Amino acid sequence: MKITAVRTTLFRDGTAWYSPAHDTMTSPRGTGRCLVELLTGSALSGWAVAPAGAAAVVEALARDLFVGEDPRSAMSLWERTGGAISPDGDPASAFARAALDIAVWDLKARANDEPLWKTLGGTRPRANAHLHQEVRPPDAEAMFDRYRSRSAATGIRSGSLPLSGEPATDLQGLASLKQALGATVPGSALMVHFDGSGGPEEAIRHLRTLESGFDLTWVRSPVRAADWTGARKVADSVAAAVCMGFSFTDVKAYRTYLERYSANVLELDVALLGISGVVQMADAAFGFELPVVLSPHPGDLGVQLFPALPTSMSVAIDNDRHLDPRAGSVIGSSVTFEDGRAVAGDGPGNGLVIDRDALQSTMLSC
Amino acid sequence: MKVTGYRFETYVMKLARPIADCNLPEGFDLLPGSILYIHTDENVTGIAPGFGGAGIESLFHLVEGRDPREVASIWFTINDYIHKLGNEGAAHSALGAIDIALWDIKARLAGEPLWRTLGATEGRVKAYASGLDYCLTDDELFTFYRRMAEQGIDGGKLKVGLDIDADMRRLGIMRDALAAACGRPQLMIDSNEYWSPKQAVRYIRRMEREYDIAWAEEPARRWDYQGLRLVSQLVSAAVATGENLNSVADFYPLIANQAVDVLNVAASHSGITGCRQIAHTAHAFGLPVSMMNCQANFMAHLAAALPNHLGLEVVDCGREHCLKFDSYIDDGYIILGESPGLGIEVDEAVLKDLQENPPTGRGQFPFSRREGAGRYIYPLQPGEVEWEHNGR
Repeated sequence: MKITAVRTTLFRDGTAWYSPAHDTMTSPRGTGRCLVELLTGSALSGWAVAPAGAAAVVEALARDLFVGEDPRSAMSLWERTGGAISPDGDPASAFARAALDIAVWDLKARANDEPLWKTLGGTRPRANAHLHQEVRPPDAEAMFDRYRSRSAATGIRSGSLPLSGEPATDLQGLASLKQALGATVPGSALMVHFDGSGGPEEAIRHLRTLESGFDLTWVRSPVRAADWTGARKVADSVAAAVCMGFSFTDVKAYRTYLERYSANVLELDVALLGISGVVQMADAAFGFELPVVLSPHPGDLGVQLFPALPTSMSVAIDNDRHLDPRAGSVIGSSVTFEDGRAVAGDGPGNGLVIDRDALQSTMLSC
Repeated sequence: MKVTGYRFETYVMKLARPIADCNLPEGFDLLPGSILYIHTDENVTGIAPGFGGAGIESLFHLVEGRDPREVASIWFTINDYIHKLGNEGAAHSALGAIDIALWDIKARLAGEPLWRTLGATEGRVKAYASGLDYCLTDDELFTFYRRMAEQGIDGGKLKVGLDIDADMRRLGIMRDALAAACGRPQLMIDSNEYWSPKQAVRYIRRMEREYDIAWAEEPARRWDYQGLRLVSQLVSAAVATGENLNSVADFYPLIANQAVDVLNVAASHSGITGCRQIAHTAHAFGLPVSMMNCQANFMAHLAAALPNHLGLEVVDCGREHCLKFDSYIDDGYIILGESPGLGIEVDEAVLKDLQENPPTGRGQFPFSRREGAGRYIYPLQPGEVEWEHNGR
């Protein structure tokens, strides 16, 4: 089996998907996305989705490094693309590399006529999950309404709050989130996330205030991504675990965090690390006895990986889908929820469901 | 697709030549072997060759009825089950063997060689020669490494530790033999934990006056992260270690304390899943790994898929009696074929013969640590080896 071509289709999607890198990637296309399809000359094709801004790099990388290759060589192809590009500081390259890796793994699973979770060696996922909304909207009540309705629909009792930075507002926000989730049952967890732009002292003061009223499981990105010293300071100063890894574009970005024991939980984003990078980094996290959480991804792709990673802690499920009522959701998911657990489907491939009609109606011209 | 049963066979084999390190200089040529077979309801059987698997009867209930393609999750299940007493002893041995056999099944079911299942682009892995050669005469030493060089192998690892003058001479012999493959062969040494850290520094520094040593293997005890780091800081050679550890948990203090420069990884590191975990952890730290020797070089399947693999240790001592395998060495690389799974089939008639007519020979594995280890050098005694040394 050989990869014969790549096809990229740009479209606008209502699915929320944030990262600092992503914001710069999509401008001026707003919620622009790119459907990546690796073709094989047979009925089999592998799918992934990336920010629209990554499309040109996807096409170039695929042409140079993937066409003619056997998609079952996923790990080596991942390393090969890493040698050809510089994912550090170049979001387009990182997203493109990851999207191609995701599509290759999709092909690998489809070739075996099995779901990706089985290709990765996992049992059918019943993943621990939490609801996550990346950015706090102006209308906070609407956000809590969404948390409430999603929690009711899925049974998920854990969630993460986007912080405002204002202590009184965030204390109230945690109370509202806890109430919305019904997060009083055993196993429920409250988390908070910063926007990753602050300093450690500010974060420590803020978190100590929040911890006076709430038991926080983790706090994500209390400092800038490169500030491992600051992260360690926060980790040594508050009861909550410090979770770092948001927007990290390469396995190497985690090294200092491991060396200096600067994070208690690692966040892995399949959109930036690909399947291969997540598998590698999760093994490294296991070596250091650190839990990992999986970032939100269209189609809830992280659920597929959950059972094959040694220290999976939770998969973030996007609370903020269908933000744009004018746009249909092109990327659906085969994931269902049972008693708060995210359960992957057992169809072949990575479980991304493409709505071709919606794709047609939301397609963007190049 | 379900696991339905297993079969575990043991045997003793006689090697084509004796092997040794400085702990038992005279060496041995009898080696225990085992094969774990795991059967499925779809008539596909996976095997794990080696000398692991004892203890399978106490863990098999965790595997029976499971889909073997879910090998990673099964690994976690067993690892969690044994957490109280630890990934040690018979449990460790069985975990590794089960994992290897399940990966074999997974690849066979996909109709592809395991290197492809694991995501490698090609079944081709760089090799280095390792004579396990303390018992070889100087002539035998040259013959072995020259034979390896004629297959394109341009690196070698010498067993050392008891006699610096003899070790210097034999390093030269190994270098000269390998020079047939490469003008500047890569030289490694292995003292098998015989030295203390400071002994290692003195010994290696003397070698480095004349030779460029790529790595020094097990220059101190496997868990002594401070001693290993000291050696690494005080000699030019990289420090390699890890072959006698059990899992990534054992490597953690070494990596976290910058005590190792090259990680020796192996099938005995809790199977393919466990071994890969270690390699990926090393990769996150920018550290290379080197795969230890094994029957039919089957761990080349994993090595081919690792981003940070240096070279696989080829011993070539003749221990594949009952194994038919689809790999060979060419131009310094192990070339894996397209046969499904590990590419290994068991010759049941040969296995039966080995069991019914066990060979006789010299010594037996395992063996004790040598007197003086970690404290003083107990020199070679008359009759221990047949080559020239300071005690003779």
